Parts: sequence; structure tokens; C-alpha cells
Amino acid sequence: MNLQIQMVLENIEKVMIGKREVAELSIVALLARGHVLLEDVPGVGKTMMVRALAKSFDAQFKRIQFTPDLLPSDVVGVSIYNPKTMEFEFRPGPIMGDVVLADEINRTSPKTQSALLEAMEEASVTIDGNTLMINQPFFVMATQNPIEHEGTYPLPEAQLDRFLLKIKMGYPTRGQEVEILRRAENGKSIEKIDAVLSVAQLIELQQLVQGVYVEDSVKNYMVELASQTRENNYVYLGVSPRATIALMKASQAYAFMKGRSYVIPDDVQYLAPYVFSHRLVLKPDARYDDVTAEEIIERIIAKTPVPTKRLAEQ
Amino acid sequence: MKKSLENFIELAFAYVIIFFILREWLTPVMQLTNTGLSQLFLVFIGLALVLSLFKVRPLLSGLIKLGYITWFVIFVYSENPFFSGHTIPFVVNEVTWNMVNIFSGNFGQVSDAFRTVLFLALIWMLIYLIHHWITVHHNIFYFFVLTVFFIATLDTFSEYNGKLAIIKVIVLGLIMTGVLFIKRLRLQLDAPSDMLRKWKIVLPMLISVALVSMVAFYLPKAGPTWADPVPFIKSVTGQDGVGDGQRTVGYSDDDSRLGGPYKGDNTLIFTATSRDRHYWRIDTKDTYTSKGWVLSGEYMGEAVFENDTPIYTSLQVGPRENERQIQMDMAVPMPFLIQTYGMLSVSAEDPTLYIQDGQTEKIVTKQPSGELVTTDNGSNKLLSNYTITYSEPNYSLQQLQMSEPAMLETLDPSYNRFLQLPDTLPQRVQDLTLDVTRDKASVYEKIKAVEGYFSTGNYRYDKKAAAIPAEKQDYVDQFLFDTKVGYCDNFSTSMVVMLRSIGIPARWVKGFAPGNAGALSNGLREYKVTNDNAHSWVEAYVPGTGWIEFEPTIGFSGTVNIDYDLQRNQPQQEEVLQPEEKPAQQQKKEQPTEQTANNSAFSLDRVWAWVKSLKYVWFTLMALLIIIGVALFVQRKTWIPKMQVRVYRKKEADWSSFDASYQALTKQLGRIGLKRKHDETLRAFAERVDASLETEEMQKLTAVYEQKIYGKNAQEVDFVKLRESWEYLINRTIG
Repeated sequence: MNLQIQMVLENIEKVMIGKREVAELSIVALLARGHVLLEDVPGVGKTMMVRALAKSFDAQFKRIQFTPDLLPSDVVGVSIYNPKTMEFEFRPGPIMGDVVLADEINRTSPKTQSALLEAMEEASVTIDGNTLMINQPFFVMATQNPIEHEGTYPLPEAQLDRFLLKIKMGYPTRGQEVEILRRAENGKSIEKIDAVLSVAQLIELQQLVQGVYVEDSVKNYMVELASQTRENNYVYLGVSPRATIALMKASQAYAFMKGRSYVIPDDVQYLAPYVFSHRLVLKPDARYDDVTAEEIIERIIAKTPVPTKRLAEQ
Repeated sequence: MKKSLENFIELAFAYVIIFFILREWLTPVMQLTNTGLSQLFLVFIGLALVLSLFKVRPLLSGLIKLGYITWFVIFVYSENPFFSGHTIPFVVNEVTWNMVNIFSGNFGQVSDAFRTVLFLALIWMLIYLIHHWITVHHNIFYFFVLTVFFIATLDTFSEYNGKLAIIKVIVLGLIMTGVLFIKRLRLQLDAPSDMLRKWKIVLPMLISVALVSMVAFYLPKAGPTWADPVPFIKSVTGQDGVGDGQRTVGYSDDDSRLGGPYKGDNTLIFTATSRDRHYWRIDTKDTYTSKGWVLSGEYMGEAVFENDTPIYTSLQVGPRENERQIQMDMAVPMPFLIQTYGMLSVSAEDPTLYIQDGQTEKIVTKQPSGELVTTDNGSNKLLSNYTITYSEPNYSLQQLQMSEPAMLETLDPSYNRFLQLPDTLPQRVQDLTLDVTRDKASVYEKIKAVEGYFSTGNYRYDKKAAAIPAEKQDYVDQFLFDTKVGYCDNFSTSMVVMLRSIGIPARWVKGFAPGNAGALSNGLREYKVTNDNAHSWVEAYVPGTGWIEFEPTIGFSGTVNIDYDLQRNQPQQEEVLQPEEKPAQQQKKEQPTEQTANNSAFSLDRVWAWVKSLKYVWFTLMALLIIIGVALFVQRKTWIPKMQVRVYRKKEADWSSFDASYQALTKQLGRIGLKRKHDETLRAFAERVDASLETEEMQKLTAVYEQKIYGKNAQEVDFVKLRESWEYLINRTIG
């Protein structure tokens, strides 16, 4: 385990109980310069997670609560006429933060959603003809309610593709919940955590992640998994090459986090469900047979042989 | 407390089964050694089992057993009761007698009482061993297999019939193995042993054992289709002549049980000096029992001849003018006459009576006395040399071919005994004969067809490979359809039976083959006839001509003179009737072993014959190799790693040897059931292995291996240390 990241994780664990895996995955996304889609019901600690993460890096934390009447300008910012200077002045929207929590992203209209997603992909916003770069690190953690809920606008496939990982938070266990209550008695715990890394250090780590070695056989393995999703009977639309890139980047970040300078198939196997599941468009059959995207990916992993030799030797 | 009671019940159950299995051991031993009082032995077995069941202290249990043995011996071998004053002198006497004998090496002299003591001691040891197997190893398999082997061996080689015993032992043994297996399993898993759960496992096991044995019992079982190896084993181990179904060497009177290998014996019987080659006829038999030949038992009268008086047999003779002499010099004088075909008269130096039995045509030689001499009285006379006057008959082929099958129907009832067949003769013998003789018109041609049938390639002459028919098997049927290997008795008996099955009278003739011909001098040859030449052939009745001899045995050729008086426009007939005189070739066929000994020139045939003669050696070698191979294969997970440890110790500790050793390790893990699934990563596999073997070494090795495979640059690794981990792990997989 990388020591710096270990520190961050321990920091987060001061306020988040039993969510080690979510924290790890969030850091993976952060290190891989990707964004996270958290799918879960309200109140399980999504905001706390993002805030703790932001605080650990001493990064600027912004939050956007998406509602049906939210406008794109509410996200990216707006130019306001300043009578004093007689000029339009740009007021940056909440998207211009380092760590952004986009809450209930599927409650808003597709127009606003796409404004956010464009900003996420390009790391820039265009307002009144001016393109403004968003500062690095730029990390969006969007949450969405399970799709079945009423009054939601499901995100289009192309937009889902922009999230590196989709994570489910899940409810805490009983023991964990008791612990949460115990901590809640002592007032707001988020105030207790301090920054353990600077933003500059984070950016340095992000650069180091890019140097993590991926052996060709492991690349092949990723491609094999990706192409299997395209051949699966339950899948209407398999994952895109962008997804394969995402898998590689996430694997690099994960390997880095685990203190390795190379990716092993274990990393790939571990991350594939998080990277792929939200990018699959399933056929109705899957729903009839009660098969989820995660299960399909599990099956694909189970039938794909793991590379145990260097490519040249195979 | 409850647990120990349960264990006790289990053990008691096991001991009851063991008791019954041991009883199956005891029964044949008692039966074969004619030992009575098997109950007393059983009591001893029971006593020993009970003592070990109740975990009686060794000293006490030993004393009890010794006490029982002493009582046993006194009770059985001493005439006086146990508590009389004679007991101690008896024991002292026995001990000194036996000790003296043993120390002086007279093992045969030890008393029965002492043998009994030894036998009981053996049982004692056996029970100790069984106790050990059950309570410590929880495995009775070897004992079970040994029991089956023991009973099967006795069943095969002795009169003991182990059919029922085998079934009993198998059933008991299966139950026992099953129960112990469950026990082992439970100990391994450390599972709670609640009664209900136990019955859930035991009950289906009992039911399946019962089902299996029932199905096996009622299923029809095929007889052996290969040549019975038992006679061979018996002949090798020198058990010839013991028990039933053995073939004694050379000429013998008892032919009621034919079959089994023929052991070579080249004792010279007689030397005949003659111009011609002869078959030496001694007697004939008429009744086939499906196992061999006996006599019908009818008294057919006797004919008495003297020196130089014409002798009349049922056979043809040639014309007087062709009369010749044979000088017989008996190396082993016999009380009967060696006859030849075409025999006219016999003359010996001393006055002798030649008494011919009407039924067998055997001619015994008797000392003339004033009274009436028959085969049953008078003193036998062993002739050392005599002269036979003969004239070989010539048979006209034309006449032979005129023998219409219809003529058989008008035969005299006295020929009925030559048509006798057992009721149990399988129909397929007749079917085959009808098939063989279908398109032959005359009786003679039919006989020739049957005679020639054996040399059509399906049958093989082998003195050693002949089988003994099983209880319900017919000797001829077995040879004709199953084994197809045998010697003269098989061929001749089969031919007689086949001929009889289609209504042609035939009889079985015994005597000697012509023997080994010496060099020609003055137009005469010396024929040396040894025990090896003992032979049997066939005489069949051709209507219109009479009895003619036939030779069905492969490698032999008869001496019948056929006059080819047919017109030349029937060439196919000539093919059938090959000229028969080929002395050189005959001898080669008849005396292959002798030839080998005499001729030192190299020949591939002989090498091949030698190789073939070692067939059983090859079989044994092959079987041994297979057994060794199987054993090595089964035990491969224990010896392969040990070899590998040695191999890799010698190699330099570097990446390539580490790579190879890592692969070897994964293979070995596969052998003990830890196989990497194809979707399992090395790391996950290593964790599984370590969890299973309770080590951490696999993860250490895998971390290095993984880095080498997936990493970019190799890091410095201490391969020597890794090898230690590897050795530890691979030794761990062995035990």
C-alpha cells in the first residue's frame, strides 16, 4: 500500500465507518483523473465521503444539488452585468471547484446534465464564447437515485460513459451503524479531519500513476474482457474502447495505490465490474432472467483465462 | 461418556464383521488340513477380539490367551483332563521334544500340539494387526484384499470351493471399508458425530452394498474366454498330478479327465527297427464323458493268441506277400503289446500268451501256465523284445469314396458304442460338423473334411497351453470354440466327437507316434520312441472298407496308404489327398525341441519359437511392469516432488530455475487437488494454497513470480531464500 494514500484512507476512515472499499475506489478514480458515479439512496454518507476526501487533500469542495428546475448556468456559472465597470463579469458556478459533489444528477433535465458532463470530460466550460479551464485536480462525484425512482431522467449511455467508476455505497452493517450513532453523539466529526496531502502532491501522484506498467498480456486480458461484453447474449451494447482505456487507467491507479509499479490481473478482475457495469446496455432478456450487469461481468471474468505468462512467452 | 460409548459400539460392530471375515479364513484351512475342532479356534478368535475390544491390559490379556492355548492343547492332545497330575509332565514333555527338534533342524518332526500352538499364535498376531488397522489407521482395505486373494487362490488351486465365501467376504469387507471410511472422513473433518447424521450416511452405504452384491450375484457370468492359466502355474510349481484334472506324462491308462499342459519327458520307451514308419497302437476307448474317455464297461470277450499265430483285430491287413518285420526292443518293458497297423502276428523268444480285450483291442502279454489265462489272472509277462510281422493295408480311394452316408443307417447295433455321446454335448458341435461336412458326398470325404478342419488356421498346437474344462464345460466344446489351443488329445477327441455327432462310428486310439527316425541302414531305420511320443488319434469306420486311422492333430501326419486308383480327371480329389510320406518334415514338426537341441545352426524361427516358449515369462514381466507403472503413477505425488527437490538443489538459483520450479510446484499442487482455475489469478491461487496448507510460502513465491511476469524491470531477489520456501512448500504437499 502506498504510504501517502494509506494516510488519506486512514484520514477518511476517521469519519466514514466501514466504507473502506468505497474510499479506496474513490481514490482510484481520483488518481486516474476520472469521476465517480455513486448510485444509492440518500443518507448513506455520500456527501460525507466526498467532503472527507476533499478535506484530506486540502482541496476546494463544491456541491450542486440537482433539481428539475436547475439550469446549466447554475452549474457552470453566469456572466452578470456589473453596472459599475459596465462589463459582464463572470461568476463561476459550483463546477469550478476541485472536488465537486453533484447530488441526484438524474433529477435534473438532460440539458443541465449535459452541461455538467461536458465540463467533466473536457475539464473546461464555455460561457459566452469564453472557454474557461477548470483547475486540476478536478474530481466529480455524482450521485444518482436508483433509476426506478419517480421523477428521474435517466442518464444517456454516452454520458454514463464519462464516469470512470460506478460505485454502490450500501447500507452499513448493524455494528457499523451503532458506531455511526456513537460518533454522531459527539457532534460533527467532519471538522476533526485535517489535510494530509496538498493538492500539488495529489497532482504529482496522478502523474506517477500514469507511469504504472501494464504488461501486454494484461492489456490483452483487458481487451478480451471488453470484447466479451460485446459478444454476450444479454448485452445490447457492449463497452466502448473508452471503457477499456478507463479500465486500464483505473487498474494503474489501483496498482499504484497497492504499492506496485505494475498492473496484475487481480487489479483488472477487481475493477472490471466497477468500470464496465454502468456502460453496458442490457437487452430486455436480461431483465426477464433477472441478470444484472455485474453478474454478466462476473461470468465473463469466470470464463476468461488469466494470463500467467509474458506475452512473448505465450 | 456418550461419545466413548458410541465409539465402543462402533468398534464392537467392526469386530463382529472381522470375526466373520476371519471365520472365512479359518474354514478352508480347517477343511484342507483336515483339522477338526474349528469351533475351538473360533472361540480363540472371539476371545482375542473381545479382549482387545474391552482394552484389557496387555499382560492380563496375554495371560488369558496363553491360558486358553494351554487348555486347548491339553484338551485336544492329552488323554488326561486338565486338572489331573499329568498336565505338567505333558507340557514339559511337549516343550522339550519340540525344542530339541527345532534346534536340531528337524522341523518336520515337531508335534501336532506344537503346530497348533504356532497356528494360534499366528491368529493372535493377526488379530493384533487387525486391531491396529481398525483403531489407528481406520483402514482395513489391505486385509480385505488379502482375504479375497487368499480365498480365490484356495478356490483355484485346491478342492476348496470358495464361491459363497467370496461373496460373504466381499459384502462384509465392503461394509467394513465403508464404515471405516466414514469414520476417517469424520475424523478429518472433525464433524460432530450425531447418531442421526451417521445413519444418514451409513444407511445408503448399506443399501448400495446390498444392491451391488445382489446384482452381482444374480447377473449371468461369462465363463473364462482365455486359456486357463492354472494348469501352467501348477506345472511350473511342480504340482502336477496333485488334485484333479492333471495329465500325467506319457502313456497312461486313465483318460477320464483330459486337459492341462503336457510336460516333456524324453525317457526312451522302445526302439523299433523297421522299413516303414508306423503308428504304435496300444488300445482304444469308446465312451466320451465330456471330460475324457472311459470304457463302456461291456465285456466283449477275449481272444488268445500265441507266438506266430495270426492275430485278428478289427483292422485291415495288407496282402501276405508284402509281409515285413519290425524288431521291437523295449527299453521299458510293458505288460502289453505295442501294435501296428497291418499286424499279422507276433513272436517273442519265450512262449507267451497274447490276450486281446474285445472292447479296447489292447493285447496284454501273459506268462503261459497250465490253466486258462485271461486278462484278469495269470502273471503278466514283460517282453523285452519281440518281432511283429505286418503287411500294410492299401485302401482303394475308389472304394473309399463309394461309402454312401446311407450305408451308415444299416450298421450293426454293435457299432452303437462308437456313436455314444454325452447328453450334455452342446448342439454347436454338431452344427459345426454339419457345416464342415456339408458338401461332401461320401462318408470318407466327410471324415477327411473333419480331419482337415483343424488345420484351417483357427487351431494351434501347443502342449503347454491346453486348458482343463470347467465343471460345466465340455472338453471338446471348450477346445473347438473357446481355447482352440491344445495337443493330440484335444484334436483326436474332438474329431471322434464330431464324427459321432453326424453318425459316423469313431473311436479314440492311444499309443505312440512313430518316433525319431534314425539313419537308414540295410533298408531299415531305427525309430526311437520316447514318452514324449505318447499320442492319441482317431479310427473311424468307413462303410464298405472298415476301420481306418486318421490323424487330426496339427503337425502330425498319418501313415495310411491310399491307392489313388481314381481316374485322372478328378484333380480336386488329389489336392485333398496329399501324399503323406514326408519323413523329414514330419520329424521336424513332431520333435521341435529335440531338433533345437541337436541343431546348432542359427535360425530365426527357432529364436521366435524360443521367445514364444517364454510367453508366460513375458506376461509376468509385462504384468510386473504394468503393476510398477500403476504404482508409480498412483504414488506420483510423493516421489516426484522428492526427485524435483534433488534436481533443483543442483541447479543454480536464478530466475530460470525458479520459474521451472514454480511450474513444477503448481503441477504438484494440482496432483494433491489444488489446481489453479483458469480464471483464478496467481495471487488468488496462492492465497488458496496457503490457506489449505497452512503456510505463507506460496504467496511469497507468487509475489516474486508475479512481478517477473507482469512487472517491467526485474528486482533483486534472493533466489536461495526462495528455494527454501519452495522446498518447504513442496515437502508440505507430500505429507
